[in-house]
Amino acid sequence: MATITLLRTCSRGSRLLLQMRPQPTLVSSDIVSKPFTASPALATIEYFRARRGPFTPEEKRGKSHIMMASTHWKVERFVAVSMIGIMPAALFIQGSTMDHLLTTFVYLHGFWGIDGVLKDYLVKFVPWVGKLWYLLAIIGFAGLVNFNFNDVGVCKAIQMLWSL
Amino acid sequence: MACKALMKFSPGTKALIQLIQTRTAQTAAAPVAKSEKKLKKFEIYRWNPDKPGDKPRVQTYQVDLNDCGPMVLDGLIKIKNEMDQTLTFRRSCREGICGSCAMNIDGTNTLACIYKINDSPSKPVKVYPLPHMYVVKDLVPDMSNFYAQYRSIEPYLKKKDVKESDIGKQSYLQSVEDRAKLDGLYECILCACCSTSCPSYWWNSDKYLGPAVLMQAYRWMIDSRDDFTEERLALMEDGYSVYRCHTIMNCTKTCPKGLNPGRAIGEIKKLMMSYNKQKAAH
Repeated sequence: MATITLLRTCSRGSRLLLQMRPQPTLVSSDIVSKPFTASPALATIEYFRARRGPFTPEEKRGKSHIMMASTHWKVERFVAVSMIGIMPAALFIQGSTMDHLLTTFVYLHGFWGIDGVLKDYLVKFVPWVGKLWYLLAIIGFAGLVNFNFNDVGVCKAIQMLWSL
Repeated sequence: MACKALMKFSPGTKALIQLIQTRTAQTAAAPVAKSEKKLKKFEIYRWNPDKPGDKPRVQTYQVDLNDCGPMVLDGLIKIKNEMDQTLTFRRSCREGICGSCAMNIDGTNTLACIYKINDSPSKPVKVYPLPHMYVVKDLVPDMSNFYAQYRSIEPYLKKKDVKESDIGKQSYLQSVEDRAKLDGLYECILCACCSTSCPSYWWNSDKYLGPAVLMQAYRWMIDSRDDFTEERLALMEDGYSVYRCHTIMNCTKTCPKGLNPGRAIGEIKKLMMSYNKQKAAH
């Protein structure tokens, strides 16, 4: 029972608020009490159950948006299209500028790709997974930048990989 | 478009077709020789919420096709009339204009009334409710979320600077070209076949609007008589409403009316790239 309570507390706060509301007595008490009588296995499922709509436009937008969704989409397309030019160019022009350009563009593209997958399949069940992905991505990117500055750089590294 | 082109026949061809049609009609009127039964298996999803603890199951019915209309809906009605009155499904117009009988037949979302029973003698007809919808009973899905989303895009003409007293005084005229832009959009009957065939809509139907609703949103965005294009676009400014579309194109493939919601969503994305955001804010 303690595990269930813990899981429920860790889950989204909105539902907790709903439960704290004075519950209507007599009127279908069996329905209201249903989540509490669930077996531990069911409680685990309940933890991952997403909230169903309806969502207001503000809720869909979220609080921490830096740019508008359409602008973000535009930037995403710009990055994807410029990669068509950057990747072949890296075959002929090498140097620290190309290292950073390649790192940034390919990494951003991959970052948004995974971000999209998470948004599609996971964020609604595990809301904090997006933040985890941001953290991992930042660490990864810092590593690559460090590699470009203090080591041979990605262009040279790929060349070395091929000459093995 | 292709359909319209096909329908235009030269006078000679037209006469020939009419002759064949008359001939066929006469043949149909002749008494059918009572030969052996042409039995067809119907495998239908069943679930009854009124029975406590009932689990969904597939029930098989045998229908004699010699004594049944050509469409799947004919088969379903025959089963309900003659074999099992508890079978529940929606139907109304029986000619593909109301969108009530949308269901998943042989793995495709379509309208039962305009989808033919398959010709293969051994293959059963498999009938399921629309995928990834909450089932009310048997083949009846819960459409309330779909309708709520449709309501959220405000699917009606909205004008600026029009007083309540001005309404009904004059008609809003439209050029032939502007009217032509609505072709392929206004025909949608909101049967939800496209939305429920979209994987993105399966996973995110709470936030993603889905192809059917987005196509109607686009229909009002490009209507020359509507004054709220920017506001309508601004309503889509989040990561979910439109941008969960990944151009999978299941919507266009499945549409029983031959429309192209995938294209409409692409056009919305194009409009979103360059609309007047300042205007929308007011």
